[in-house]
Amino acid sequence: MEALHLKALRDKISRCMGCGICRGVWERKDQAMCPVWATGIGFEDSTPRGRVTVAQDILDGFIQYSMPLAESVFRCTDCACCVTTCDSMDPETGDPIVDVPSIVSAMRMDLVENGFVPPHVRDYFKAVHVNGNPYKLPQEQRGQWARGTGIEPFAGQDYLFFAGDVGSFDERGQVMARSVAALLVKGGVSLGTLSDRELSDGNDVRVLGEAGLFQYLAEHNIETFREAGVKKIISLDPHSFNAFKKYYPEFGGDFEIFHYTQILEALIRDGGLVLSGLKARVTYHDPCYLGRHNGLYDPPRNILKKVPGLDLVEMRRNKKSAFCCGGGGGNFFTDMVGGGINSPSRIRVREALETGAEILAVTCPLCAKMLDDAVKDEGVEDRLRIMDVSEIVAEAAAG
Amino acid sequence: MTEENGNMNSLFKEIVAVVGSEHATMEEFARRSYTRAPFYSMGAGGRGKTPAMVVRPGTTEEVSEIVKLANKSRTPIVPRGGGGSVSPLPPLHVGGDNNILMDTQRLNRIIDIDTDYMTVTAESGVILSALAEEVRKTGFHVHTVDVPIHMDSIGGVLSGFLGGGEPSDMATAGTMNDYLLGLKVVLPTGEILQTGGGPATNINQARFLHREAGGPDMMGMFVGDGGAFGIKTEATFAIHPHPPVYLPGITDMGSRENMWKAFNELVSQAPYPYTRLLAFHEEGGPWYFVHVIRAHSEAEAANRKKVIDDICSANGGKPAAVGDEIMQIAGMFSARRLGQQALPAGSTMTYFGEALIPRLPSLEYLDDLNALLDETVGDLDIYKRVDFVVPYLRATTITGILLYFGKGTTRDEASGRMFQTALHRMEELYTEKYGGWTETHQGTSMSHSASAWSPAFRSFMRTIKQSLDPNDIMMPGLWRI
Repeated sequence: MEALHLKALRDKISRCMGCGICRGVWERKDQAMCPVWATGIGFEDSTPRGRVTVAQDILDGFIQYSMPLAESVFRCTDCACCVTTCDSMDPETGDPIVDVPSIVSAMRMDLVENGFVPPHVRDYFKAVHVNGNPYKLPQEQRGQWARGTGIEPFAGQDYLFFAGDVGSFDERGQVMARSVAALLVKGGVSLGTLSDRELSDGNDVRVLGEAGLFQYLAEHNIETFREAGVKKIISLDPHSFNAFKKYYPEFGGDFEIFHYTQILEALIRDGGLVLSGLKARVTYHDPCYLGRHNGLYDPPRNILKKVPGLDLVEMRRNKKSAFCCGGGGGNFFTDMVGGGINSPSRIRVREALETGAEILAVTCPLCAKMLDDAVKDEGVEDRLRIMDVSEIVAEAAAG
Repeated sequence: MTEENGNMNSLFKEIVAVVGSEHATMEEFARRSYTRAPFYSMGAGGRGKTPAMVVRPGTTEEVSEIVKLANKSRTPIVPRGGGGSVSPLPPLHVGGDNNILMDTQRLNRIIDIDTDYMTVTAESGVILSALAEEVRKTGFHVHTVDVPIHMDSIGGVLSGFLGGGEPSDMATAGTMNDYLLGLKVVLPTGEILQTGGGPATNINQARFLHREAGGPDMMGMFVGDGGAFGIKTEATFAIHPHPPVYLPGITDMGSRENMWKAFNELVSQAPYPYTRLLAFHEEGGPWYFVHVIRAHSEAEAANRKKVIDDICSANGGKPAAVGDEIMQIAGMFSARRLGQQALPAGSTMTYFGEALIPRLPSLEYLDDLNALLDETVGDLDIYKRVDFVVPYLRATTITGILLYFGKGTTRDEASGRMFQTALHRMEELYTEKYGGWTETHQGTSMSHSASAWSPAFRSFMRTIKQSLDPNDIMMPGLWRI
């Protein structure tokens, strides 16, 4: 059985000291923590240290890839907390010495290539492959979210607005997409959409190890963007942002990529949007693909700080130490981590409640959905609202 | 299917019925993931014995049920705590090919913090850093272990596989075991025993007041037993008011002679002026002291610092010009820095010969240890070696070498050489020549320590083991008696 992708990482794998700090520290609520370990599911193999041990065992021929192993490997949410907590960097390059997410990614690619794909993951791949989106909905519906926002089809505007799968098809995501688009239009930003000409950005497909499908999606989208004359892209979804920024260039996708908060921040700063105010205590949840993976911590905070009357308080785990909502790494669609009383999103909601905030602000449609559900599961709908930053700004703009 | 496999499968089904299918596994990749020990080679030489099954009970009662099932089928059990042991676990010589590894991390509840009686009671899977933090929130302090505090569990430390419980203030406060008041233990027959006085014992006390009250203290026999006498599921510790003032410092002592004179004066003070003290030097560099003072007031801290400064100054010490590199080395001895080092690419960190040594010959031991290191791995690419001496109360020290291999040395090569060549001679050095003992992090010393038991003690232990564990299912063969 082949482990081609893992073999390329042998050096990284052998450098792990095995101390286990990558799992996170239970009592340090200001430090990152592996959401799978915090949830308490799985055995040692489901922890970052355990994943490295499993990887070494595969390379050394002690174990083989298998379906039960796949169930464990596909549970990782790719939140990269383990990179933060390990903090062992090569001083010459600044790169993580061990880098568990890349090891997990390699194992997933090997698993896919060897045919070990758990049913939920397989269904996700199939839906994206057949329909261009994981919701199994016709492509024609991809642009329906935009009705009534004033956003036009893309025809050479400054920016392409890319809503992504969740923003296009999920009910909660569509609300967020409409809110962001309406604000950008109101602020005079020149932008349009490609609607049914887009396919899934493929971020989670790539993270789940289907490199071939990801390449197909990336090449299709890049070709579509080029044909339409796209130069700059505003992404609603940090997952799309991550794929466009870090992985599309491998296939020639050299566009300027922005997350919508970067544009909104500039609009507000330059007076393009006037905010009357909103009296509320708000805390902000950093999405993993915006924060840890791409280092964008300030734009959302800067926007919130500009809202008169708004009291921004931080959760103890914030920025690079933020706790994952559990929706990363494809888990939003595959639900390999599962629910339960200590699901990552429910833990995160409790952390938000500890701050006394009445609004938990998000900037990712997947986080919004995960945390919305967690608020209901915790029975705290009367104490905490999940709001996208654009929704907060819209309320503040309305006065 | 072999008969043994069939029996294990049958036992597995029974155990699944107790804990649920999500908390028991016979998958090889999952079982092997538990055999990893920090710092040791990833290869076979540094791995523990692969268990046949892993189970994660969530309550004392579930532990009891599993033990009863294992007893019925005479299947060995290896309890496992936080997974921070630097020794391969399960030990290669314990049990057979059909061991059940009992992962205790689901026993993670802090049951009670009583600030009147000044006790904390928690389940054995609680990670010590979490225990310390929860107790600290009440304004109190519990003595826990030092460097691996974020990985070690209560049960693991009390069993002795990782520790014996050296708190960060070990230099002045002794070990975690000194603060233990009571234990709940599932005996090898599955019976649940409460020790230390209090509820569920034959002593009608509401709380753990004093271990010695009311009868013989049977608790100590479970401390450092490696889990061979039973599985600890709860523990009660004494707690004390938390000293809120934290005052660290680093002193450049220059020569080894200066350091040693000051060291001996410092450890002879009464009361100790420091809470924690560490002496170290990198090959070719000056000796440094790192000290930590924990006090109940700024004035108390200042007075104690003056004692330290005066003694250091009288022996040629001066405040250190602290650079990043020194802080990094000092950080290796800090509770929060383990595993967070910016190591050069390809480097490997480990300890060499860390042992509990009588104070007076500690430096001679270091000389011998360095000679052994040169002989064993001196030809490998070593880019940093750091000698260290830590006082352990007054009469003893923890002494050893912190060792970084450079990129020219693989982990397998380094650990393999040390494991196969140096381990036995290291033990000879610190035991036979210096009358010391391995520092209690080293779980592999369990059988070695038993080899030094007197015939009477060996017989006594064998009798207790046979009485408690007639089917020899708990860590069988641990002491090789």
